[in-house]
Amino acid sequence: MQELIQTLKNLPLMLTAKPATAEQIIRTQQDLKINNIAPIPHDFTELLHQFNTAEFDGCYLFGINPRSYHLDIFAENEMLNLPDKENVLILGYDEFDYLAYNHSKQCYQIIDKDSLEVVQRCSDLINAIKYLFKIENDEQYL
Amino acid sequence: MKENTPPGIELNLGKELAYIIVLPKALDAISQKQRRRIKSNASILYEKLLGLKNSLDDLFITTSKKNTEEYQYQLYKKIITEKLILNIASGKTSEIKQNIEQIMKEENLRFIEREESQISAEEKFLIKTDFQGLSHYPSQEQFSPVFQRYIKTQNKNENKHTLSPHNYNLEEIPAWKYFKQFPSFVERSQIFKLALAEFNIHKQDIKNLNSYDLIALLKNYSIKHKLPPFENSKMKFIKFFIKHHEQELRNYYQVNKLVIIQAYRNKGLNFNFDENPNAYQDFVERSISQMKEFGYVPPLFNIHHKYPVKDCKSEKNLSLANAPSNLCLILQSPYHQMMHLFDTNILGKTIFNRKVKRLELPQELIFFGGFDKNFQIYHKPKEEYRETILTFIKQKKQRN
Repeated sequence: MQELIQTLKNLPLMLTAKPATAEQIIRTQQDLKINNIAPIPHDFTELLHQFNTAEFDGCYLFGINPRSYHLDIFAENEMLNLPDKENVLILGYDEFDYLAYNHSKQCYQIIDKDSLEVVQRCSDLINAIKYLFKIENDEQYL
Repeated sequence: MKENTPPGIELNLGKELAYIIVLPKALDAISQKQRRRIKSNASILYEKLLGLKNSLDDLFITTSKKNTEEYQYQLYKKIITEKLILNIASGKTSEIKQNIEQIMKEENLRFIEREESQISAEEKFLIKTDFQGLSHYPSQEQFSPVFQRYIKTQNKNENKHTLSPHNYNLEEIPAWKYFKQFPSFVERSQIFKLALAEFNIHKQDIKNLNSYDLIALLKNYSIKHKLPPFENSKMKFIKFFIKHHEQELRNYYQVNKLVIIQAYRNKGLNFNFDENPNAYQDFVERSISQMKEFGYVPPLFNIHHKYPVKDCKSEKNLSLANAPSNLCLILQSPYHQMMHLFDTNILGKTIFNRKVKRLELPQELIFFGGFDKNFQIYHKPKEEYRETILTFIKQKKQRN
């Protein structure tokens, strides 16, 4: 995770906010619960303590933003109001897809914005964020 | 673009449109007792809207003289903006829809009904890849059964026959009919053949390969042979834009310094322009240099597809979805969000429950930094061509 955070911080002109406090995270989890929206997964809350919201090259990662609804996990999910929001939490997006966490499948997913179909399952948060920010996977697969 | 235009109207209209994205939802939530945080947001936004409404009078009085065309325009804008604010405040969503349309119409932006002609998942995947590049492999479930069999046997060295790249005719692959619509893939025809040969794909099996298989082969081959990175349409567009419109963008940054700084603050971003007097100029210079060198989208902006990707089914040319004439560099918040205000997903739902209605932007509009014409940039290739010809003739005359 530290390696990923460093990679993200090194991206040119990466915009990020101050790390979230424990109080802010607890408050957001409560708001999500009250509004029947899925909670923030544990590893993502760990990330928020160090790296809160990100914007780079047309790709956006949500976090906690007390100033406005921009990139705020709770406000953005409330506005999107997607089906299955009790189970699937949206954590970011690019021009075509959402990054989401599916609690019943216990995995991060890339979901097409129009069809809402899962186009990719990510093994963990690190791979999900790499996918969102187009950080090259240089491993030979085949 | 004028250098000294005060951003008065711009700030107000921009804010107001940002609020309309949130407010109908927020007001709806007030009626539901348990929605604690949404309720408090709604009151804050309502206060802001009232402030905006009051500020309209000053805006109106100071910007134009009576009985002029400009005066009539401002008056009309004031009336419909006031109506919008009142309707938002009272939660009348059907009226809000009409008000927004009126405002858009006044700004020469048209809403158009489109007959939905959805593209297939494979077609969309190729548009995405052409736009974003080859950063990741498709997921395994997307591969064809034939290709999955090849992957299994590849590791066991069971594919021992070897074909020359020349033996492959890409036209025999059904998915190639999509690929050949993209110049970026056509340029790589030979690499596709080399990848097929290296993977020992039987000639008779290529007719069963799908688009995901071909992209996986291309990516794998590119990594293995350390080929130069795939320059995607997004990068090409940004480089194209900055090559032709650098000065206009610089003027925009100069005139809209306050708007940009406010956008930073709204996002709670960890960057303090107040402490360092050169910070803003450094930010502008770094944004422009990253655009030139790497084709990165500048911070706070995004690229908008004018003709929506999901509706761009064309028998002839899928790549038009990513052509510069279909792309527009736009401030993400509130304008890009606003452009997608009426988007529908598979359920046909939007926040206003409206179906297939899109904002129509002019083909020549390449940059949208606000409703004011001074904050927009148009790319006019015909004029550019004419200027080039005139310069050429002038130079020739001088030489003679």
